[in-house]
Amino acid sequence: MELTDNEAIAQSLAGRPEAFATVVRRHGQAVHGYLFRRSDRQTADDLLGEVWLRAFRSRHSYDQQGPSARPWLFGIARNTLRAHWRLRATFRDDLIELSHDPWSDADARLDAARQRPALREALRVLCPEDREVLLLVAWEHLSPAEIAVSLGIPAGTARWRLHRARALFQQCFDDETPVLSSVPCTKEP
Amino acid sequence: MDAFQLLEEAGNVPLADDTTIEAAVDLLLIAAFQEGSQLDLAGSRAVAADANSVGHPRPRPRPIIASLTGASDAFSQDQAGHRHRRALRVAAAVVVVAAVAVGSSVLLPGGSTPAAAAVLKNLARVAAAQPAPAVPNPGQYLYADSVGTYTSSTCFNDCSGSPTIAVANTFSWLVPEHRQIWIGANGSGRLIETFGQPTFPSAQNRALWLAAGSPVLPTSPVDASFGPGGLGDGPTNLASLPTDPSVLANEIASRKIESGPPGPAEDFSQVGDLLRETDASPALRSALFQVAAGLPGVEVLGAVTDHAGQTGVGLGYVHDGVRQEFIFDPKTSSLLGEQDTVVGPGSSYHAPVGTVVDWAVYLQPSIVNSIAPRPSSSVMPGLSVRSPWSSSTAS
Repeated sequence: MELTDNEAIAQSLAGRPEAFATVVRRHGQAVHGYLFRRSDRQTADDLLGEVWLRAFRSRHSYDQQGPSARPWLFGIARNTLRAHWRLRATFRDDLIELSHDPWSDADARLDAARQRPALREALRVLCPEDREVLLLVAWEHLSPAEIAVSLGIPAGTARWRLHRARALFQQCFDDETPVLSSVPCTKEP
Repeated sequence: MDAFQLLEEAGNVPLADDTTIEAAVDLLLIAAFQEGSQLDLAGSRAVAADANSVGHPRPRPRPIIASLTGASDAFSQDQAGHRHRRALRVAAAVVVVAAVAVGSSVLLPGGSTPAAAAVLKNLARVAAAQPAPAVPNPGQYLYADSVGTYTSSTCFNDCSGSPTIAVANTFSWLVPEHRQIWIGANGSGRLIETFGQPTFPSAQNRALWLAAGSPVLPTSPVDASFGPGGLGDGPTNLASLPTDPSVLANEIASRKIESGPPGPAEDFSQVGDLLRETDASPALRSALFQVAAGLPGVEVLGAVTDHAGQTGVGLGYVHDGVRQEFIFDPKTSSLLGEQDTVVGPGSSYHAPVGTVVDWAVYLQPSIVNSIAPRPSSSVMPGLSVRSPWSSSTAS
């Protein structure tokens, strides 16, 4: 029988490092999809191996908070994408300001895929944290509890952010009022 | 309109290619090997008594059992050249070698080029970081010890006619072999080989052997000494090869193996020849892996364990229905072992898919001061010629 994620990672820490390959095979496509949706195929192909090496090297800090390692892996994919973005920003002055937010890559993909401008605009308006919460549900199909694991925030905060993000997103989409700058992320109540 | 639903649809992206995922798996396995203390590949290998061990001895000349009546000139044909495992060893007569080699040259390129390229590029990095191997001083010898099984083939009737008939009248048998070789700085040295009981790779080969009148299959031990140059130019002759990967790739592409496979299959074979038991420099070995990374059709076999229980990363190339497979230690990039496996139609071995037609495992070579016989550093393993490498990551 196939090892579960938790078993595979535990074994990989107990003298069988190659057991980690089970996790790669199980979630390889999901991690690739995460990268692809936020950048493009080439970037996803290029970064996939790095995400897995990072995951493998940091598996000591893997905290079994559920049956699946996927939320944790998306967190590593997010950091890898950010590092990639920062590296790229160092060669492009105009990107430095945005270097913590890899959104423009995803926006470029949606643009190429001819997605509605209203959709892209409504997403652009969201602050990066809220946007990521919304996308983890819409694109990666995580539950609020898994989002909490992925982002390292309390579950209550994840739920609250999701609620806020969905409402704001729908509102911006309906209004189609041009918004010049994104809404700052407010503190949780 | 439900903006959330639109957003979900906007997240539909095509799946990654399988090769992309497999490349990630292979990178991971390499990282796992490099980390794994339990998988201490170097430690699990038999080490020769001499402490001055070096990474890689030179390519070994291959004894060819020249005919059914005797093996007297076994080495003369091959001594100048390196050992080319994929050159078909149909050796009853030169004309037969030619006839069979042109038989069916259908190139069957494998799939995983990106995965193979990722593995090979990593091996190139590992190779470049290795310390330079020791080379024998005048009066010293590179001593290498290996075990394996090789296939010998003989045509017994109508051998100079059509290739089809020649193949139909050719039977193959497998001979377990234990080999010790001493290679001096000037190319002099000694070769001792002992052979086990011959077997047949399939019932059809046995039937053909019976049809040929059940000739005695020679398995006499070999003990031969060589004067200067007898084993090539000596271990340092590789120093003349370019270490720029693109220059080296052209050099390799321009070389031809007599009766060997054409095109990329030949190039892959040559890369193996130059990595096999040589004292090639780290720079050259790194370049060789990069050359292989540029060859179309190289496949990754995943993590495999060879016949001596050594685990490493496997790479293969299919030609004429036979896959030439190498297994490398991902920690050091050294060649641990190799084998040839029937994987499809087109082979001349009359053997079913999955048959391992030959294999070898290489034990840690060393520098020694004389060609005096020495006890083997290894126990000859079970020589189970039918069992393919076990693959712990078969997908």
